Amino acid sequence: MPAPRSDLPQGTLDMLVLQVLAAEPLHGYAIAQRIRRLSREVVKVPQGTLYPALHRLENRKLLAAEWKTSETGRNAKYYRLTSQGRRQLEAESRSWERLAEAVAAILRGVEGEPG
Amino acid sequence: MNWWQRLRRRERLERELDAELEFHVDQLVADLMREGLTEREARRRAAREFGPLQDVKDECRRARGTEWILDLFTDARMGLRILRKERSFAAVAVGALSLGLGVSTVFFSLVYAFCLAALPFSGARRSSDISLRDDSGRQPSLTLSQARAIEDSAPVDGVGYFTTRTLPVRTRDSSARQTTVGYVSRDVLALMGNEPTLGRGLRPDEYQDTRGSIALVSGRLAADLFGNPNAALGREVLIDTVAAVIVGVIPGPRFPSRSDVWQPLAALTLAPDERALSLFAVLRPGGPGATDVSRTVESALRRRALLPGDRVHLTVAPLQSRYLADVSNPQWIAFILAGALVVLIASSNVGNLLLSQGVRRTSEIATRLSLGATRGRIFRQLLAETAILCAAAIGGGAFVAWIALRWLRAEIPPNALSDWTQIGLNWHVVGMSFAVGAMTVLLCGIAPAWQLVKTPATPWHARTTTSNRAIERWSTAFLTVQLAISMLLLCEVGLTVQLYQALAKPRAPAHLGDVLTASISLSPRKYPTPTHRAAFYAALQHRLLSTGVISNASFEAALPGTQRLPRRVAAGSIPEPGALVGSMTVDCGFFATVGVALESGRSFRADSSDTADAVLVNDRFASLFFGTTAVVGQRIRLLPPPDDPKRIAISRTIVGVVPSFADQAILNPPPLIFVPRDLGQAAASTLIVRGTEPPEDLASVVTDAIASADPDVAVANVVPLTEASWEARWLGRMSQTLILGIAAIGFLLAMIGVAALTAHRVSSRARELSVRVALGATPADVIRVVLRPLALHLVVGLFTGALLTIVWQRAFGSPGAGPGNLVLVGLLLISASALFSVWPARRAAHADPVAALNSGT
Repeated sequence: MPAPRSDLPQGTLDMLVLQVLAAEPLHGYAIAQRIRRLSREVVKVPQGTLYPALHRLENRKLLAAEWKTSETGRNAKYYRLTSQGRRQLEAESRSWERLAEAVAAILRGVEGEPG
Repeated sequence: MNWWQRLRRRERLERELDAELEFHVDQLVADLMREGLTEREARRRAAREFGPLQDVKDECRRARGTEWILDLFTDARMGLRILRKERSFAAVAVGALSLGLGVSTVFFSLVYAFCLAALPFSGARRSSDISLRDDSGRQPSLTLSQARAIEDSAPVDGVGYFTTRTLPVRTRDSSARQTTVGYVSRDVLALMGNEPTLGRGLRPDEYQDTRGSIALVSGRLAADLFGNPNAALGREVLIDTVAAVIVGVIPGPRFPSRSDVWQPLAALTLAPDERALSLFAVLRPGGPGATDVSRTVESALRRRALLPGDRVHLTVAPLQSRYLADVSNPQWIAFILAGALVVLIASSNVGNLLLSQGVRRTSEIATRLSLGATRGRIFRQLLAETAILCAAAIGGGAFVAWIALRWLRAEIPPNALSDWTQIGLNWHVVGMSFAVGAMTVLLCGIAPAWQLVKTPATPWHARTTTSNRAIERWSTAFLTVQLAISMLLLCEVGLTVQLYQALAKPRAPAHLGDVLTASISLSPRKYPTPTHRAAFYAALQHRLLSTGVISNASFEAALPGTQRLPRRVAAGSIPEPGALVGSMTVDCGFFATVGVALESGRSFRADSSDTADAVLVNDRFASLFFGTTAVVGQRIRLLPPPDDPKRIAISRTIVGVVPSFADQAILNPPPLIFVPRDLGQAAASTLIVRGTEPPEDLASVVTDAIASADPDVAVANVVPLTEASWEARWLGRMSQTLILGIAAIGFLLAMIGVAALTAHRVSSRARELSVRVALGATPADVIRVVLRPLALHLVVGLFTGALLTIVWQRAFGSPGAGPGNLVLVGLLLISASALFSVWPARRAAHADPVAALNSGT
């Protein structure tokens, strides 16, 4: 049975894109697939929202792009992380981890509280 | 890629976006087909998963951050197309705004040049003027002892003091020139940053030189005397007959103003109590402020008994305030407001024109709304049209200002202004003027745009139930503003009934066209006593008259009519404290030289017997004080100014009556008295001569006669009297022309507003008027229907204008709000409004009713 899909909290798509591109340059379709696979099908990026996010990150110079031949032999636009993007990813990751730990702690506390 | 590159390469980016999204969809289709779907099913599912392609593209374009620029371009293109279609509207609006912005730019240029521009000296910003000020606001100059005491006691970084003298300067083989010589203390030039760039400055020991054997000269004088500034170094020049060697040349702006020669102050012999010096100081950064310095120095001066009485105090103020006009002065504020009012009147005009034009576009706007355009989009479009008008008018305004400022500069005689008063366009002025203009215009464009976007989105409905009433309210408000401002400006011109009466009054002619004038100044060293000076003038007059081509010559204090000192006089029916009249000091030959025959009595005698007792009066004075012109032998009392206890009242006997003569463009002759001039006291004079030849041909005769009498007498401005008078009155003439110009422009703009409002009425009521015509209304009936509401607007506008004029008079003390003046200007505006509105009303009266009904307007 497939895992239930989850809506992305606002602002997390940018962080996921940056994280996926930290390993290697990818084109838009591969980014969407990689996020889906890494999240074990939980996070399914609405494909129409991915490209505006990629273009916005490119304009903010967090990503750089170039056209290259893809595995299928067609030209595709590959995005890679810039050094500025890498710094942004580190900052956002730290912030996210702090938030996730805090939320988890709250949830644990709620569960532990006597009935 | 920055936003500009994204904008420039937007076509390539569009192609790339298409390719990128197409690649994504194709990959998705391929994957789905691998899962077992047919291509058709795969494509359908991919489209569903991906979402609307066009929306994604729009989102990606927005992410580029350049969409708003493209929207602006689109709006501007559309606006240009509409304005091209409505050429006459665009031409009138741009023309009106250009005039308004041009006039305000000229006004701001003058304010900047006279009040705000920085002095062009590196030391000026850090320097403060230290001067005396008495209770009546006068600023007496300092004595040498006071200046030295300030130098000793002031807790500042440096003090400089100076004075100027007008002296004859020449080389050994040239004739003398009237030259301003600046006598400066040691630190003046260094502190001000006004040191020579050619040669050297004065050395510390040279400031002790009492012989005046060295000098610095300006680049201008050096070029005048020696051909070029470089050639002046080491050359000798005679300053008031004393030879001095030029050691340096200052080519740029001059401080003290208009100085062409600088010498050490020690070279000038000043009497101990002679008030001649100006002083400035450089305050210490972080040290005592102006108030502390002023207090310290004033107490030091009082301790040394150098400040007489309690009525004189010491003030320390920024140097700029001494040499520039005070922008907070009510006259300058009135001047700035007048410039701003012209922009406002022009902007109201454009607002009205936009409303009129908008009414014709209600169907178009309704159609666009019904096709899905948002009201915000249409509002932006309408504002874009206003912005285009504004941009075109800014160009036009700059052109108008450029032309007007060229004319102004040509009107100002050379050397009339300080070196630092540069009248022209600069970025400060253009920026300030156009920012104000653009803001006002856009504000006036918002109201019409706001009203027009309220149009219902159903075109058939828009034709009958537009927000016409609200539009008319705005239109009326704009017109009221225009009429009120126009009334104020016209009243300020002084368009009075008395003016016309004065114009009609005949005036005794003075034959000034045949008179030549020249400024002469005597060397103080060669002519130290009254006897020496009187003897020189007598000798020169004899020499001039013996040339055979000169019939009269006299030596005056100033050009005729340019210098009238106010004097309080009691005589006849006006007892003490008397009334203020104009007082002129004239030589005995003055009236004969200017060609004025006395009405009765005699002129002054050539000997000095009249100096103490005689006076001449003009006919206006005689009738005002005695009620008759038969006043020869009557006594008058010249009273001292109330704040000068040292002077006493003097009684004089009237020996002659002079007609009020047209020595200048005075429409209402003032009461005048003429007292005899003591030539023994005159170190400088304005020579006026009448000859048997045209004045231009007398110039060389006069200069030769003076040079042969004494080459050390400086001569300047040898020109016909009419030309000299024209130059001398440049300031008054310029002010009058400016006020007349803005009043005329304001009036014209207000009338365009009246015509626009009537045209708007006609176009918005075309159907109703057609029905009236179809039912038998005559053209006169239609004109009456159209013009009736205008009468109400005129009443409101003129009433507001009258109130505004009275408020303006209270605030700035101008004389425009007299009842006669208000009525006259009101009548003028009513007549002109009727004239300007009849034309559109007549068009309505003669329109074809069938065509108007079919047009659906």
